[in-house]
Amino acid sequence: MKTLVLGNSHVACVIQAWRQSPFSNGREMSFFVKSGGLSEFTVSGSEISAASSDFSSFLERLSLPKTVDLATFDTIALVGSELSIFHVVNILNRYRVLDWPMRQDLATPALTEGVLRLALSEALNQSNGGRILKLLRGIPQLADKKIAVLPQPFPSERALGSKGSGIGFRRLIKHRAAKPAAAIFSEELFALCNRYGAVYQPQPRSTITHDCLTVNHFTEAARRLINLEQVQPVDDIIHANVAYGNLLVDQILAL
Amino acid sequence: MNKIADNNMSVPIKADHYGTYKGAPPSSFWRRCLSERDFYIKEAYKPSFTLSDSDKIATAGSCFAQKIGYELRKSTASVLDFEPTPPGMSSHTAAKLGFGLYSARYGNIYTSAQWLQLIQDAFSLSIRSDAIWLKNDRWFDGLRATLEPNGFSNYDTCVSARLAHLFQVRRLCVDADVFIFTLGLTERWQNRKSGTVYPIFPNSIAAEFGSLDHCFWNSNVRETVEELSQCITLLRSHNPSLRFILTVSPIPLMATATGDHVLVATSRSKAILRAAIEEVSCNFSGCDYFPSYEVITSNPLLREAFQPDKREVTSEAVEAVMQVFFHGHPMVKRSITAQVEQEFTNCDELLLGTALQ
Repeated sequence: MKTLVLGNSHVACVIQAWRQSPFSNGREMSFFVKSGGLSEFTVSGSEISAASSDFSSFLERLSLPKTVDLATFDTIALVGSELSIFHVVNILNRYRVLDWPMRQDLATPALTEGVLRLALSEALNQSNGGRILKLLRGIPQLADKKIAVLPQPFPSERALGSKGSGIGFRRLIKHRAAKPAAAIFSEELFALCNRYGAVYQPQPRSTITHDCLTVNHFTEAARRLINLEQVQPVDDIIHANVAYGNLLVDQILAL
Repeated sequence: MNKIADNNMSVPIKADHYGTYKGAPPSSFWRRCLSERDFYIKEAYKPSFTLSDSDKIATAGSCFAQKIGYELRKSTASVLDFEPTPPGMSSHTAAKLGFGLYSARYGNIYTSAQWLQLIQDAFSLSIRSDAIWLKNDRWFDGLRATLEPNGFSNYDTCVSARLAHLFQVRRLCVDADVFIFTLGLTERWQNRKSGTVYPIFPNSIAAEFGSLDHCFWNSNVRETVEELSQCITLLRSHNPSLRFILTVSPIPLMATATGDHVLVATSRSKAILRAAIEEVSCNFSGCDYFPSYEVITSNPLLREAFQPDKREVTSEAVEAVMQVFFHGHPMVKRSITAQVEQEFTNCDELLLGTALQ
């Protein structure tokens, strides 16, 4: 069984986990990834290739091929790639949702959940991940291939203690909106996956705290995709570590 | 257009108040205009105040106001939006749901009565129960029914949404420096008992929204002047330095309920609106008329002002209008400073052309 993992910086933990894994059980896993999201690539037939010298050297640094034939894999897993609860938070930074158990302050503009869902659905569809899903499903050679989606993890619970980043998540929790926010994110991403015949693999439950954050155990000392030897900056709250990567590898191998 | 101080329309104008035609600019003469490549059209707008980049602008009105707002957002002008498009939503969906069209999510405001009602409701935070309608177990805000196409799950949520909107309209009215309002027509549907004015013939949205309590009203110049005057007075009671730019939409009526020919009804509506604005702008300082109507409908040198349906204006015509506007406001530059997505318009009036035929 051969699996190709596509994605952005959130794949670092998967590569790290896979490379440390002593048991591959005959499974092969390859990666086609780029920090900041897959871009600057070309698709010819079922082959995907880096189309810029920057991207090529990026893959080279990770000892990854610059061209892969998508059709030679049994499964394609799309990781991170802006498929994130941040889209919900961006909206809720400006709006409250009528009927949600959150502070209903007249000074804050209001939306119905229906409108919030529409905005979220379109945001996910237009995200880097949404566009790659659409691209993959448009390649005839991949018609019978399994495609899976593993979203960007929720930010670290360190956001609770941070003074800067993560304010939107702190507000969600304070206003008791984290649970419905996480629920609609999951539902809308599930719907997006359905639209493209992909399998949605939600964030493992054991890694989630406060409904919209990732337990610190899974986010401390996360590595950088650009250099897997390097730990993310101290104030980074969005990337997960090898412990989380192990769970994603399990999810991918279970496909 | 030069304003004449203390102009009283009912008093005959004496020639010596104006001097002779000799000192008049070339743009005052038809033949000279006709000999000029652009008909001196930029001289058609001589505002009493000029906008600066820091002036906070509110926009509202009929469909044509969307085009003015869109062009302003592409400029260095500071256009307010108190209910902005939720991040991630496409501009097409946003327009359908009333986001990004105006400075708040009130949808199209075609008449002076509708504008006055919105402002009154905003400052009193009033809910009009005769504008909350039920269809298939869903509740609809009849004053902007098309903006929440699936309605609300219950009455209370519908009321909460309306109150939330009115509060943002109130903030807008208090915060704005300039209000640009485009009047569309004089024909309206209202509740015969309460006087609540609806944005459009309720049956055209859904048959279930029709009621024997709804009646047609076509306002005259006096009523329109009165409504506009009340709008300005009420707004200035909360925001004394607020200035106004009033315009008339050049877009013809989609349909008339008068039984007259739609052309006659259109001409009547536009003439009334034009005359009413003239009077109001003479009565209130800091209140100008912007001649978008004339630029599109009366400029003999503007070719192809209307699209093939002979109703929607062409992009060239909008460009001609905006050139005149920005010529009058040279401090506002047309360079794009903000990301503005593709324009999509939302015109409820089109329902009259589809639902009823």
